[in-house]
Amino acid sequence: MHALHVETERFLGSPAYVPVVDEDPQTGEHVLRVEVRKWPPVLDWGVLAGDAVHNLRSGLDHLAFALCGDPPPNPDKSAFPIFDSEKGFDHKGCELLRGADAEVKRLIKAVQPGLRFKTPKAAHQDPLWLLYKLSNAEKHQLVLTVGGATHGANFPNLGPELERSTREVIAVGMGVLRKPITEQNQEFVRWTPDPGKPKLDPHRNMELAFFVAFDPEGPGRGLAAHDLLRKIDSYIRQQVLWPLCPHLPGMTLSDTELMLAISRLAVVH
Amino acid sequence: LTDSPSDHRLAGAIAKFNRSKEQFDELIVEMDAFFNQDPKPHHSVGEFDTEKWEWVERFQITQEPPLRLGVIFGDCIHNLRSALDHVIWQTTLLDGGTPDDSTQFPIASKSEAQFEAIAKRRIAGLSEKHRALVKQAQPYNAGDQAHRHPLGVLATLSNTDKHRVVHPAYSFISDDPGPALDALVGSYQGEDSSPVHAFWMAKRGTRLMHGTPWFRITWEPGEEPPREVQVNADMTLGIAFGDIGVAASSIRHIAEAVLKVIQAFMADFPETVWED
Repeated sequence: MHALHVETERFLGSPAYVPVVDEDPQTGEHVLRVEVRKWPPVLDWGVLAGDAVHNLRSGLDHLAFALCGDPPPNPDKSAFPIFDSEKGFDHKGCELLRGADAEVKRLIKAVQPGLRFKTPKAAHQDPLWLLYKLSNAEKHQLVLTVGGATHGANFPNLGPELERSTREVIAVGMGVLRKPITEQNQEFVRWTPDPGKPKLDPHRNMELAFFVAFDPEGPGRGLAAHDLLRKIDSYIRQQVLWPLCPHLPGMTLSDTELMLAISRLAVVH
Repeated sequence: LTDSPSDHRLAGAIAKFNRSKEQFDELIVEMDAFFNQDPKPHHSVGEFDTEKWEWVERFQITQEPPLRLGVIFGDCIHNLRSALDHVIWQTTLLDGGTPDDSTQFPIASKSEAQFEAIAKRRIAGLSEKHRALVKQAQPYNAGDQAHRHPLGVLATLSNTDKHRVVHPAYSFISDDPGPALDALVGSYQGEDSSPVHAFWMAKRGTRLMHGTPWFRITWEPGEEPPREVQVNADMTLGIAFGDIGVAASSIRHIAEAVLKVIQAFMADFPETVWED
């Protein structure tokens, strides 16, 4: 996770993306494009994100394995269940926890996406569900697509003449809201300028923010890559690890206090 | 595989494979740092055993290999295993099939019947030709050596790392004691016959555990026992992982087997361009 963060911050710190506004000679519209001066190493970032996802998912399975007895009665089938429905958990999830005591099963059931949310759509926003989908994709299917995207825009120096151009500002603001950059000179938004007003200068009148995100069409749903991984990590520490660690064999009170300290440290970071 | 143009459909598999190489290199650096730290994590202490009339050197372990080595090892294994699955995903698409959540590279170490049972779900969308390639690569084809087949070992290591525990790391002797013993036997330079009755060294693969004997010199009965023996030899140590005791260096063999599979499939992707 740290490696991904360092790499992506370095990339965004370089002038990889430059906004350009030009005029369409056919229609007279103004067009905001992004010139790509350096393409992101999408595969390398995807593999790094995959490593983080693998370790987060694997950490949950290791936890379940340790909670299912020593040795677990069914070691080859032990895993941390993640289900988007109560029925799914009751039918298949409990089997993955064979050997665990009732309280452990209750605690794990309580964090199931399908039980925390009323609808599958809402459950699919749950950090554990996102981890489940990301993990399956990165292990068996495709390298996770992690690339550059526009995040949003600020308009710090519009000046008195442009301040009246609210319509243009809104158009640009909406046009650059969280969209992946996939092509050279990709068009983000076009608008009809107010007659007689100066053209929006992308270098003087607007600040475009870029971020590194998962593919919107993939299991990461276009979310900021590092933020999502940190969110999942933090969620696991606080909502899964912390309630379950007192049930780990051989875990003492001082160990659990240490785990709490680690969880809190993660929040601070 | 140094080049992985992102427009090749197996670029993801190659990126995974190359990442495993980076992790292997990282593992080697961390292992070297572990062995070369000051003070050393292992040393030897000798004493004369008056009952057996022999000088015995025993390992003293001041520090076990850190768990972190097992985590890096696991990451490396994960990417190699995953590269195989990615090949099957793309090949299923190439063959006009529809990959799903069951699609994976099957690994069967027990029998052809086991392979057929797994393959039904894992490679349902592959052409006959590609199915045959997968079948050809199966560990069960190695007969009674199947458990040592690189892909069989990979499957075992990957399953344990993903679902159960971080592979524990331990140090072991990676030197063959033969040449050192040969040199010792002929090394006596005294005028009388050698007071040494026999030398013994632990064999290659011996796990370093605290107090384990690794070197013995048995004196001839009646000979004056030594007050001190200086052991100047440097022993080459390695690190092995997991219950099955896979040496870190064995990852190379596993990687070669994975690479062979990737290359076999890559040949059938029309965008593949081979260079000398």
